[in-house]
Amino acid sequence: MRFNRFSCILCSVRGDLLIRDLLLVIIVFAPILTQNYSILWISTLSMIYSLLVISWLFMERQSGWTSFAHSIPFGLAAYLLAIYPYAVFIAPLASTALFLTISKLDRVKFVFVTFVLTVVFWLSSFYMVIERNGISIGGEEGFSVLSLYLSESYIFAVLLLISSYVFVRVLEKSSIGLKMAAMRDDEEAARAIGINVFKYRFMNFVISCSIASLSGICYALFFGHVSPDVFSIEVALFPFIATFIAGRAWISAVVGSYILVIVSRVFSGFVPDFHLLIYAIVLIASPKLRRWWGVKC
Amino acid sequence: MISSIIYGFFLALLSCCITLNYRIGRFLNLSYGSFFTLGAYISLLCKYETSLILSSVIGFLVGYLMYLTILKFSEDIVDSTLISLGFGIAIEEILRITFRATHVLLTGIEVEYVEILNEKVFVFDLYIFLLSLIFYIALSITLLSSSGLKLKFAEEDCELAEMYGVDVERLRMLVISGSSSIACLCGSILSPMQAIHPAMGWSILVISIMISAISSVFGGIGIRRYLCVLIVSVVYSVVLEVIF
Amino acid sequence: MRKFVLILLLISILIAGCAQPPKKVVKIGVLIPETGKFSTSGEAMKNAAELALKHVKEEKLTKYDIELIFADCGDTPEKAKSAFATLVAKGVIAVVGAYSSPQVLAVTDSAKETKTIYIATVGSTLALEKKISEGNKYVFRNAYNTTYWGILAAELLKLAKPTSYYFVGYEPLKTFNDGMLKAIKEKTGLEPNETLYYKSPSVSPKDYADKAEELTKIVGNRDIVILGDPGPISVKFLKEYRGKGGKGLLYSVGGVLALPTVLKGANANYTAFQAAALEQTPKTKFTKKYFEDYRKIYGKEANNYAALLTYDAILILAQAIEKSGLDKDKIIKTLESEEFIGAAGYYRFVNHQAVWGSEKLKGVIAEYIGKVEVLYPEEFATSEVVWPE
Repeated sequence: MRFNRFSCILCSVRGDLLIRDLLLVIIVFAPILTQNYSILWISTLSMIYSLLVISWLFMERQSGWTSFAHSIPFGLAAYLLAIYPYAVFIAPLASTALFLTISKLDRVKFVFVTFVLTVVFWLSSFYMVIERNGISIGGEEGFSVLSLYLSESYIFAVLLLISSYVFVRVLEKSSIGLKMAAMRDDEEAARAIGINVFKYRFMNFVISCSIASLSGICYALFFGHVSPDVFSIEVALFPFIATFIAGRAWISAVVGSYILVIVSRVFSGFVPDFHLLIYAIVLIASPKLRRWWGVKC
Repeated sequence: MISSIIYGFFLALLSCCITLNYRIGRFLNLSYGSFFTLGAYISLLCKYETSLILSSVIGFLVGYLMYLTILKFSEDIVDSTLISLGFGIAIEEILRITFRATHVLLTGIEVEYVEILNEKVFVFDLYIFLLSLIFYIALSITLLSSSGLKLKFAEEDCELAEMYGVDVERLRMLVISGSSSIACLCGSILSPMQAIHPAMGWSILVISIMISAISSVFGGIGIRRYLCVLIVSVVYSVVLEVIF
Repeated sequence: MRKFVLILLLISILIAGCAQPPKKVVKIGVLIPETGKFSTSGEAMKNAAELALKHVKEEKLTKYDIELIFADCGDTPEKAKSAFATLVAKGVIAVVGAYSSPQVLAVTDSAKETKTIYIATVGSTLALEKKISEGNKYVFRNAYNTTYWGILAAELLKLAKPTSYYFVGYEPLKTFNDGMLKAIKEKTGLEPNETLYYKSPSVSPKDYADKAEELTKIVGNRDIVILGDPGPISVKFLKEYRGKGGKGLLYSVGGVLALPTVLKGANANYTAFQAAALEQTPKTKFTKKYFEDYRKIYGKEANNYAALLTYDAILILAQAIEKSGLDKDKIIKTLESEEFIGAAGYYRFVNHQAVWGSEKLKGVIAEYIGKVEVLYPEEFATSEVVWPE
C-alpha cells in the first residue's frame, strides 16, 4: 500500500518533469564546463541563495505564511557554525519556535513582526563578541570559519540544491503537502475535516528553517567568514524579491536568485558606477517582468 | 527628556506616513528613507528657506511619479512594495552619481539651540516638532470631518469604498505624494544637523517601519490608530534614553 | 520558450563577460566601495587610483604598461568577494582596496585560493595578521592595523598632556574601538576617565546626542575626548557636543572628521585628527604631488587616508613589478624584502604589514583651528597643541 502511494507520487512528479526541470540541470551544471573561477563563484553563490529562496517559498507557498525573517535561520546557522559547530542544529529549531510563536498573530502582523525581528537580530549580531586567548573577536568584524575550496563549495551547493528541490516537489504532491495546502487555503475548513493544523504548520516551519539553515551553513563554508551582514535586511528581502521577479514556481526560486545575483554582483564588475541603478530599474520593472515571464501567482 | 519627546514626535510623523502608505496606499513604502535623503541634498543647492519649499515640491512630484509607476505596473501590494524599493535605490544612486562627493556634505548653516526647562534643544528639532504637530492637527481635523469618513472607509475596505463613490485612487495619490513630500521636507529641515551622504536615510526608514509595525499590533481605527503611533514613538524614544 | 531564451542569454552574458582577453598589459584590480554606506570614500579612492596610474607613468616607476580595472566592493563582505572574483576573471595580477575589515577578511581567503596578490588599503583588523601567520602569503596591508590607530592617539596624549581623557566609541565598531583603546592604555599607561559608546542610529537615533550632552557636563577645558567613530555620525556628535558647550580638545580617529573640508564646513575648531599624510607634511616627492595634482584634476581636496593609501598601494605594486617582473612569487618576495616610496612615506613590510611608526613611515596628527596645523611628527610640526579658551 505504501509502495503504491509512493509510486503514485513519483508518477505525478515525473508527469510534471517539464522543460523547467531540465533548466535546473542546465543552470546548475553548465558552469562546470567553463572551468572559469568567476562563473563558478557566482554560480555557487546563486545556488546558496536559491536554497534560501526555496526555503522561504516553501513556507510562503505551502503554508501561506510570508516571512521577512529567513535571514534568522540562515544567519544563526552560519554564526553557530563559526562559534560552536556542535550546536548548529539549534538554528532551525530556535527559528521554528520563533516563527510558531509569532504565528499566533494573524498573517499580516506576522509579516511586520518578522521584519522587526530581522532588524533586532541584525543589530544584535554586532554585539556578538567572544574572548579567545585574551583577544576579543567577533562584533562588526565577524568570525572566521573553516573554508571550503570553490570546487568543494560548488559540489556541496549543487547537492543541497538538487536534493532540496526534489524534496519540496515530492512533498508538495504527497498527502502531507496536500494537507499543508488545505491548511494554507482555509485553516478553519482544514480543522473541520480533521487536519491537525498546528502539526502541519510545525512541520512546514521546521522544513523551511532547516533548508534555510543548510543554506546558511553552505554560505559560511563558502565564504570562510561570517559577519553581521548575514542577518541583514538585504538577505531577508532577497527571497521576496527573487520570487516576485521570477514567479512562484519552484524553478523560479532558482531563476530569480540567479537574476538577482548576476544583476547585483556580477554587473558591479562591468558597470561599477551604474549597476545598482540597473538593479533598481529591474525592481521597478519586476511586475512587468514577471508577467512577461508568464508565471501566475 | 525634552529632546527625546521632541524626537519621538519626529519618529511619529514618519511612522504615521508609513502607516498611511500601507493602509491607503496599499504598500509598504521602502523608498521613504531615500526621500529624506533627497530633501537633505536639496538643501545643499540653495538657501535654507528656499530649500524647504523646493524639497516639499520636489518630494511631491517624485512621489507622484512613483504613484503613477505603481498605478501602471503594479497589481498588488507586493508589486507596489518592490517598485517603492526600486525607487528608493534609484533616488540614492542618482544622488550619488550626480553629486559624486568624496566626503560627506555639510550645509554650513550655524546650529543654534534654545533652552527649554533647563535643557538645550536645537532649533531645527523644534521645527520638526512643529511640523509634526501641524500634521497631527491636520490629520485629526480630516479624520473627524466628513472627509475623514471616506478616509476610514478606504482604509478598512477600499473596494467597497470605491463602490460607494469614494475616489480611492485620488486618496492614494494624495497619500503617496503627500507623505513623500513630508519626508523630503523633514530631510531639508534637519539638513544643518546632518552629515549628508547617499545612505543617510536608511536608518530613518528602518526605525519608522519598526515603530509602524509595533503600533500595528495594537490596532485601532481612525485617529486612534495614529495617536497610537505617536504614543509608541514617544515611548520608544524616551525608553531608549532611559535605558541607554 | 521565453524563459529558456532568457536563461541562455543570461548564461552567455556571464560567460562572455568573464572570458579573458589576450594579455597585453599588466592589470591591477581596484576594489572600491562605489555604492553603499562607504560610497563617498569610494569616489575618493577611485580618483586617487587613477591619479596613481598617471604618476606611475609620469615618474616611470615601471616599464610595464599598467591598466587599472575597477570593481564595486559595496559595503558587505559578500559584494567585496564577488567583485574580487570578477577581477580575477579579468586576469589581474594583483588587487588593491576594499574598505571595511570584514570585507578585507573575506577577500583575503579568495586571494589565497586564486593565488592573487592583494594589498589591503583600509581595513585594520588584527585578524588579518592571524591569517597571514597561518600561511596566507598573498595578502599585504599598507594601512594601519588597529594597534597603530591606538598608538597615534597615544602620541597625541603624550604631546598634549591633558588633565584627563575620555573615550567615545561607536558600538557597531566596538571590536575596532576596544582594540584601539587597549593600545592607548598600553602605550600611555593611562586609563580614560570615562568610556562611552553610542549606539547605531537604527537602534537609538539620538543616542549620540545623549552621550554628547553627558560629556559636556564632565569634560574640562584641558581634557581630550577621543572619538573612535570614523563615520558620518561623528559629525553629528561633534555638532551636538560643541553646540551644547562641550569643552576640551576633540580627537577624531579619522574618516569623515579627518578631512579639512569637512572640518571647515562643520566649523570644527579644536578638533585634532590623524591622517596618513597631509599636504603640509612632504614626506616624499609624491606627497605634495598627490595633493596638488588631485586638486588640479578633480577640483576637490584629496582624501588623506583611504584614498591616499590606495594611491600608495598602486605605486608600491608598480615598483615591485619593476623590480621582480610578473612572476607572482617573485613579486611577493620583493614586497617582503624591499622598500617602496609612496605619498605617506617609505614602506617596508614585516609579516606583510607595513611598519607604521618607523622612522620613514609615520602617521600624522594635526589640529584644525581655522586652518590645519600639524602637531606630529615633530619634523613637520607647525604648532603645538592649541587648547580652547
